[in-house]
Amino acid sequence: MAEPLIPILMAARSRWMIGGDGVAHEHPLVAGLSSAEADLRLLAVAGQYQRFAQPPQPPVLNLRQDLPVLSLPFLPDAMRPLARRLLQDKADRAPLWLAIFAAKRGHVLHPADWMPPPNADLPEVYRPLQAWAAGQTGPAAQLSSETWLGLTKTERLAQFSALRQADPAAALALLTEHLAPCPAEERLVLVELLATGLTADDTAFLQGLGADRSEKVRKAAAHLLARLGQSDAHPLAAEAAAMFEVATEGLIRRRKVLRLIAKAKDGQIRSLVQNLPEISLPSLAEALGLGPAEFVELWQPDKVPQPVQYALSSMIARTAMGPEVAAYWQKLMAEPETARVSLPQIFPRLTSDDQETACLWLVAQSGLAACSDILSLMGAAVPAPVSAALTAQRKALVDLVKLSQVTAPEKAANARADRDRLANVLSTLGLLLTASDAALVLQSVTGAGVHPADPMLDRLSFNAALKGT
Amino acid sequence: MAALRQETIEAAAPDQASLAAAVKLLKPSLWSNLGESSDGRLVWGDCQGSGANPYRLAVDLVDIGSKCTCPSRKFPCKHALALMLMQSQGQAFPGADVPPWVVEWMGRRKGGAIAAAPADGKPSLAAVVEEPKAELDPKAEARREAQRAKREAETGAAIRAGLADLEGWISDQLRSGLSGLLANLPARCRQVAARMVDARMGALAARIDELPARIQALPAARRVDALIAELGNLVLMSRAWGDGSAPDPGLRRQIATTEARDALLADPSALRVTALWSVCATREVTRRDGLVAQSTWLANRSEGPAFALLQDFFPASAGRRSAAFVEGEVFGAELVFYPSGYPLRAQIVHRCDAGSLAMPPAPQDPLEAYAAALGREPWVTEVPLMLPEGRLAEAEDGAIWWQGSARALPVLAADVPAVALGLPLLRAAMIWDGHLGQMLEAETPLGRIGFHG
Repeated sequence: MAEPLIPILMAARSRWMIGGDGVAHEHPLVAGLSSAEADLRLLAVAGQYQRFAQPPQPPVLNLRQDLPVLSLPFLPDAMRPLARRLLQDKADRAPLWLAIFAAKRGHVLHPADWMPPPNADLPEVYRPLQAWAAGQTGPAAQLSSETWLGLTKTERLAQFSALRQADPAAALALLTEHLAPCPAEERLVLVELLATGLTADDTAFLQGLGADRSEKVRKAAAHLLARLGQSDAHPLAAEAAAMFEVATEGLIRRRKVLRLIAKAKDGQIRSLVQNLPEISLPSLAEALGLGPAEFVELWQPDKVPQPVQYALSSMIARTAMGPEVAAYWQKLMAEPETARVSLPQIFPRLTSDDQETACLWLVAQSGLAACSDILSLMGAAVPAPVSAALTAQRKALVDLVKLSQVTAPEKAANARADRDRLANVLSTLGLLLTASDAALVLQSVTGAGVHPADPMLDRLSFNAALKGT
Repeated sequence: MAALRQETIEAAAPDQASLAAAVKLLKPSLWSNLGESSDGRLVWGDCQGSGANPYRLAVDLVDIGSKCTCPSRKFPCKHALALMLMQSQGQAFPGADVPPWVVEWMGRRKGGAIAAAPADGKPSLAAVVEEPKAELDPKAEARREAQRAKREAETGAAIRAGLADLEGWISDQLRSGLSGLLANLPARCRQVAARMVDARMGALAARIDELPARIQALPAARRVDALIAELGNLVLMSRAWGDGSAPDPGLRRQIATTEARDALLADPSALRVTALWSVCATREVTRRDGLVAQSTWLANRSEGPAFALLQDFFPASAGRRSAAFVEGEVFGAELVFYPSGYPLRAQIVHRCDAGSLAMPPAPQDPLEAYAAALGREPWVTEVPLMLPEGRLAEAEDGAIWWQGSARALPVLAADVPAVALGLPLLRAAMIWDGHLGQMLEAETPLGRIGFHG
């Protein structure tokens, strides 16, 4: 009986690994051949045997859970190529903006085109997909006293934020029970989340945080208490108050005003700018013998060094009650430069109506240059009146198109800069406007000579095509 | 947009030869996917040139700017000039949405293209005349034939010597131990590949040069067997070549050179298949020898070979080319396959209407097709497989496997997007080399997924 081939191949494999001369075999394939020739034949057969008869054997394999079903439909198939092209732009959170915009129009990006990063700040609809991408198995448990410790930190904070919006009292009760053992960093975030739905019911809990181990937590609690009108009588308040004076102005109609003291030295100004972030509006007003609302009413924002105004705006945004913030913003608008600098701090504290008015004011002040500010303040897909105000700037847009098309060699650098600016504005408008306004802008710029297939129109085209559900 | 004037095209042409070459491209059978933007400013189309993948080109009729994927260094190239000529002669261009690759080109453009001034004389369409066919000179023909036979004989001798050298080298590696070869694989392969180039075996040299990259992509435990398999293949190829008197055409292509497109089209024995083809994947890989391999994998929705591969090579120094096809697109065409026991590589003869067909069912055991391919051409490196319903799964070591009901195969993890791990794959296409698979595409409940790494 002929010598079986497989053991010969196995033995040869072992020998080839370390080297050495061949061994004679009786198998017909190699019998009587020189050792070199026999090895070459065995090698050829071993290769085929290994490739065909010995495919790799799988180890223990783990299957991921199925992708979760999201609560919004995917983008229509016809729009996915355009979405994929837009997603190639990785700059400035571009994919996140596109995802946020699509969600506001009632769609989600297809996960084959884009998988949301696990920790990205995205609309709620993406949360199951983010959890899946983070490797979580199954839907997260509902936040409760029993599940508090079982949830991941990201999931716990996300659910707590949602609970605070839906049921502030239940959120407060959970926090009262579970805040103390949390690490300082998480405590701070949780306390800051109480800003949503803040009422007098939170006072006792916040006052209790005056003894928290973390200074940052104590400060956050004090700022929230200030929003409820409570002064913490901060020791720096008196020093800051010394930099202000209540005076009377006007020859005929004498009126009280609050302003910085005359002849304030640079060192005093620097000290004030350092102190204002530490104190609250109620405590500063109290040190001046005023109420918070009175402070805002008497304050004169003109001729104030910008760093002081910026620090004051920050203090008011953090520690004033809602009506005081609104009154402060009304006063600031008379000083456009100061208002524009302070708006990012003030904006989150304004009501939605006041936010919309503020955006309209920005457009009136800055025209198309307001686009990027509005996007960062209000996010994608702005309300129709803001969209209409931006769309009304089409003449400026057409002028910019013409500037970008200048071909004179001596003006080439300017034309390139104008084209970059045009591309930036069009791209931002694509995230802001309503679908019908986007179509109007497209019509204007293509009428002015921009080719409809120019990639700088991609976001506007995407916007105009995604009518929403 | 009004038709271009001939004078405009003449002024844009870089030389008379380009214009003459463009006129020869005005055959409708060479063109497909013609289109025109809604404002009439842009026209585009695919032109079947000398490569396996058609050239993709677009022309901006306003400033006579053009973009073509052909390797020509002339601007505009003959294909762009031909497209302009077609537009000027009233060729109908169907109105269509501007395709993404044209949009990308528009985005990269800095402005109007300026036509290059012709180097000598002004090109003229009137001067384009049919080249007179040269009279055959029997003596000159006989001399050429004798020279060709001499060259072939020299090449045959060089290849025989080179293959003997290769077998000797392999014997040396077995005697000195494969563990040593594995530890120094790139350098040793480069050395022997250079010797194969000297022996006029360019294709085999490239295969050996790419061997280290293929082996090192595998987990360490599987590298020895993969190396044995590939060295065994080289021995098989050498023995199959024999004295080189009647080499198998597929083997000749693997060792030395590939037939020219014209020769393939003129070969009456070459397999021709008219079918509906879907584009599984396009890949562009820069090889160690400085050539870029541009590959388009097609799946057959009709009768005949299950897959076809359109493959072109061009120097990396020529810059990147955009892909000639959109992945997922389906088109009807007659393909001619390079003669081989296992027909795979092909050229498009012409596009045609081949109706609309669903993909045929995939075999339950995907390795049946692999075994069949090895049976016909044992040294084949990569075999495309159609995978039945299955799923991608993860091993503890992070490796990813395709898992079907009958078999599981390891796949290149870098190619797999996260989304593919969370869906059943109703059907998938993969390139299998006996050790590791490269996923090409998959049909899922959420639609087609491409695997791009």
